[in-house]
Amino acid sequence: MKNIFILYFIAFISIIGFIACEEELDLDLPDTTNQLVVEGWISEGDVPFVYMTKTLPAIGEIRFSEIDSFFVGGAEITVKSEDQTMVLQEYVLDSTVIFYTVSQADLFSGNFFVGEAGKYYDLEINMDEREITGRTKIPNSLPLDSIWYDFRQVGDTDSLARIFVRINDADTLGNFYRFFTQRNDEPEFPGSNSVFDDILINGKSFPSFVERGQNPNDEFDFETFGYFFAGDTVNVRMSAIDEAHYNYWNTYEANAQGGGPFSGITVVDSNLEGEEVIGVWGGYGMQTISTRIIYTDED
Amino acid sequence: MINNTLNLWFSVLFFNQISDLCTLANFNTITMHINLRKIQFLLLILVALSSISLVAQQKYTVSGYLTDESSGETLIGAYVYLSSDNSIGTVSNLYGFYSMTLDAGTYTINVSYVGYKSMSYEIDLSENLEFNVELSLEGITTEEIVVTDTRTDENVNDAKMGTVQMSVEKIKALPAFMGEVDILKTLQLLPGVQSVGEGNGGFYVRGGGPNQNLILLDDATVYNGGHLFGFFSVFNADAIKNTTLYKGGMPAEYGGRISSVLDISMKEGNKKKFQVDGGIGLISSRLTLQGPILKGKTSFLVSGRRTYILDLMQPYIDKTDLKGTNYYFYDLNAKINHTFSKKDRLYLSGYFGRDVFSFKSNDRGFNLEIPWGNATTSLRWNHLFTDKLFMNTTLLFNDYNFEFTGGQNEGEQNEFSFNLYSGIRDFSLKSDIDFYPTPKHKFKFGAHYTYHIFTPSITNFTSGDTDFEPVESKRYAHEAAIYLQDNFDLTDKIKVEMGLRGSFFQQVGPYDRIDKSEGSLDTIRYENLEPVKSYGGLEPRINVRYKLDNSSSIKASVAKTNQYVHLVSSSASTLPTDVWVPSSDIVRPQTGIQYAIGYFKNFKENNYEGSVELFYRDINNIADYADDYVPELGENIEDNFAFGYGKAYGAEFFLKKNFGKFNGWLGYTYTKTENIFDGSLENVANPDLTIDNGEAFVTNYDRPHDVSVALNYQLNEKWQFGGIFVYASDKPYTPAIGTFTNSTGSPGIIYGKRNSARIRDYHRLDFSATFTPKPNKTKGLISTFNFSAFNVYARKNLFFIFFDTEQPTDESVKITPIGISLVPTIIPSVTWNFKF
Repeated sequence: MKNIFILYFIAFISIIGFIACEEELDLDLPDTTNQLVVEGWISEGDVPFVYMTKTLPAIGEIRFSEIDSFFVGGAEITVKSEDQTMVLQEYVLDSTVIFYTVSQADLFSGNFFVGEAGKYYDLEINMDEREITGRTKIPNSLPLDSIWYDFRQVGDTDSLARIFVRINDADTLGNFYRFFTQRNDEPEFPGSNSVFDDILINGKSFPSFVERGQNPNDEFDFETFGYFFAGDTVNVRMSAIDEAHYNYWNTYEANAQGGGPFSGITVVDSNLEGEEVIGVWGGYGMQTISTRIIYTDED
Repeated sequence: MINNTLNLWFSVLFFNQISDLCTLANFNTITMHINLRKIQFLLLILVALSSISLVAQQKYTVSGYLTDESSGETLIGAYVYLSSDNSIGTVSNLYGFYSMTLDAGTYTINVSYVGYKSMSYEIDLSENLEFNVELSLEGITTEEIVVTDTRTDENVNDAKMGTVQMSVEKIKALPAFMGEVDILKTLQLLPGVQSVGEGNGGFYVRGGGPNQNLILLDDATVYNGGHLFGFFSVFNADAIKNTTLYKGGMPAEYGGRISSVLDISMKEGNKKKFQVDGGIGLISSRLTLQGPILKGKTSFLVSGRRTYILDLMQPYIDKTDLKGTNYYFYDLNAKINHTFSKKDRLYLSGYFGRDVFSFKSNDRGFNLEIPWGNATTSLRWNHLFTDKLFMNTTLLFNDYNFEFTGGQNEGEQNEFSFNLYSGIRDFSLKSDIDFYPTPKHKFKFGAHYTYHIFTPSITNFTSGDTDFEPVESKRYAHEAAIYLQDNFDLTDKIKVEMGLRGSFFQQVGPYDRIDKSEGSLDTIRYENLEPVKSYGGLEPRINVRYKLDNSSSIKASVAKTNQYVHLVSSSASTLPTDVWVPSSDIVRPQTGIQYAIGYFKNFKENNYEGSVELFYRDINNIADYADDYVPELGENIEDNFAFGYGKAYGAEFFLKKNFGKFNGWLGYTYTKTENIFDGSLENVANPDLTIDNGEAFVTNYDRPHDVSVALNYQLNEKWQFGGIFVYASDKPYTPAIGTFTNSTGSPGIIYGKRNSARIRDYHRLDFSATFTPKPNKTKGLISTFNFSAFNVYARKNLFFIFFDTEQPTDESVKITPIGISLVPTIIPSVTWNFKF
């Protein structure tokens, strides 16, 4: 809901300001910052996953390969639950992509744990005499009890489908959610405004339209944006998250829009402690529901 | 002599009291009440003192109304003075009333007003005299006007600083964007007033933000002065008589904002004959009707304006998915006044304006309706107790609201709908008294009371069969003030305007707030009328003029101002969605103190006015959104405010030519602003909020160098030309200093210090030509044609910049800085204005 203002005011200004023009600016931007970027998560029923990268200059197109060791390795990463500790192992893919998760040995020996709803998890990263810590909680999720769809007539096609789910918010205030969708065997994508809180919806059970998450770098098609297609198998994940985790995604999504006349700029809220670090360590409750869109001519 | 001694004695007493009161004023209600008593006591002494001095000599009063000869409109700020000694005189008030008490005798009095023929009258003052004067317009002349003995030296003579009065006729002679004559845009051409370009209706006075300006229309507060995000102002020039801007040293009768006051008076309506004025322009048309109802007693004015540019585009829009989408705005001004007797006059005036935006996406079944605008009503009663004591009592209502209604509909089934509402509504009562005991003294005192209802937001929405309870966040508050002002001549050279204002503000229940401190989410609840938080303070103001000679003076001023209502904008421009909030248990009142000193000089018999003013402002408790602010519905926005303090300083240079075929002005301003939000002023709902880690930063409208030139040339009776040139330093912006990736595939931006980089200076040239085909015609249809060209050399001035982010491949990121120019081309326009 929050960005609906911005979206439609931009539509507004583009109608009114038909004479306005846009140009690429040649800015003399100051030297890039050099920070560590951490993203780590632990989902309900799954093992933790962490990867680290470096910040990049904000000038033009930058290839990751141009950055000396863009993915950062060589760290000791520990995840602690309330009663267990697990040291993550470093993995390297295609000799460039580095990530950390449970080690093969621990997996086989059973010496590992998975995220559980209602529990806190601490992250500790030690590397080159620096220490980065974070804490997150996997909140209890409330079930998504139904999913359905209908079809829309858009232009010449009548087989675009809207997906709806029924959301059940808990009675107490202070719940936060992030949602993702997955189409067939494509990767899972978060919605364009993937997080919401319960200030307006506290304690309610209500049907809600679910926007199709898509790769943000794919061409934006106003006609099909948010819709699914006949024949799709659709997975909707609604994850309960804690407040600090919500703040990271909420500020990040505003930040990635790059500022504008109506929004100003937003600095991303990191939930990690440490010098020169940005990022998030987040717990996800797992609630998923799926359906297959069957197109019939009668619709 | 006796007078001077009394004045001195009074000044000493008064200053002692002020300093005494100031130390007591620590925003405490109880002390506040005590202080108010002290002020009342002072008031009594003051009136008593003046009466004593009066009894001593045989004196009589000449008083009356100054009006325009052709329309009967009262003249505001016109001068009445003795021809034998032009330092003895007075100025007509907001209602055209003047009063001057002199020793018995015969005098020649001069009456003068810029743009009007000055008049001299012989009066024999052997009793109190009612003397009304009608002045006639100088009219268009091709001859160089010979200036003789007219009192146009207020620039030098008056103690006021940073004050500019402007008649609408002056404003109409200048080029206007799309031919729409715009009061606010013209004010932005004055030194010390910055515009930040087109598309921004806010004006920035001496480093203050648009939310720190008080805009009054016939005494009623106008909370949002712009249409279409500020492209046009809400003030239809056809209905406006006079505007006065106080950039600093504002008189004690004004309060509630810390930066400036813009006082706009509507016309009363032609008292002599029925008149129709109108105009047809490219984007809008206007029509004004005015005239007498009861000759000499009652007159009225109704004025309307509506835009139609998107109406004209409807046939094209109808062919698209957006069928039903439209935008327009309109204004309606109305005023009626009645003179009951010599002592009583009543004025009822109102303004109603709306912007209406409708958006439809038929394929998506989506629709939006967004109306917003102001409404004001002023009922004013002028009463003359004696010919020295003029009272105006005003009942006011004003309302600003913004609505956002829409939804997605599928046939009969309403799937999703919402209604958002925000606004502010005030009910006020005020009484102001002008007291003219001697020509050397002019007192003004009064009391104001306002009941505010703030609606930061009300959200209603329905999804399928579920109705959500409206999340309401109304706030209620009392605001009150009393003031006393004395303008007096201490010696022949020293003129003093001294005032003291005591103000009080109290938020009252009902009010619920979620307490977010220390992780608790409890609701703090206040019952009906239960005080939530009270604030008060004293606001001393003083302006002093020291006359060096007949054509030059030095002035100094100090003014303290408190502001109890707040607006914080997350954007670079003023938006209709910006909401006002009261001072509360979270938000403290903003306080400002401004020091100014200036040198004023007139040349060539007052045809040229020049001035240099230096100012320094200290401001406290300014609110701004914290670095990580994301707008969210239903949230208490105050929770996201960081509080800070700042300063602004600068110098203004002004040169103006008043008369002649060629007139206009040139202004240059140097301003520097700096704010610090270091967390030392804590937000109790959300401690530790800082901006830029507590380091000093400049505001996003900081443009150190600002040049404005406005010129007017009367070629002959038929052709008049106008030109405007503006220049402002490079625009500040917050640079991206890095980027980062995460699992979403869309890069985030790391920003550097707020507003620490600059890009592209602003400059623009506009021209206008006004053609009057039959200049000597005074009856029947009188036409003029206005041709305007905005941005003559098509300068691409930047409205804003943003950073476009993408990951063009799986292995790279790309950040592109993009600049948007709203009016990158020359915009010609033509308007036909008529009158009959």
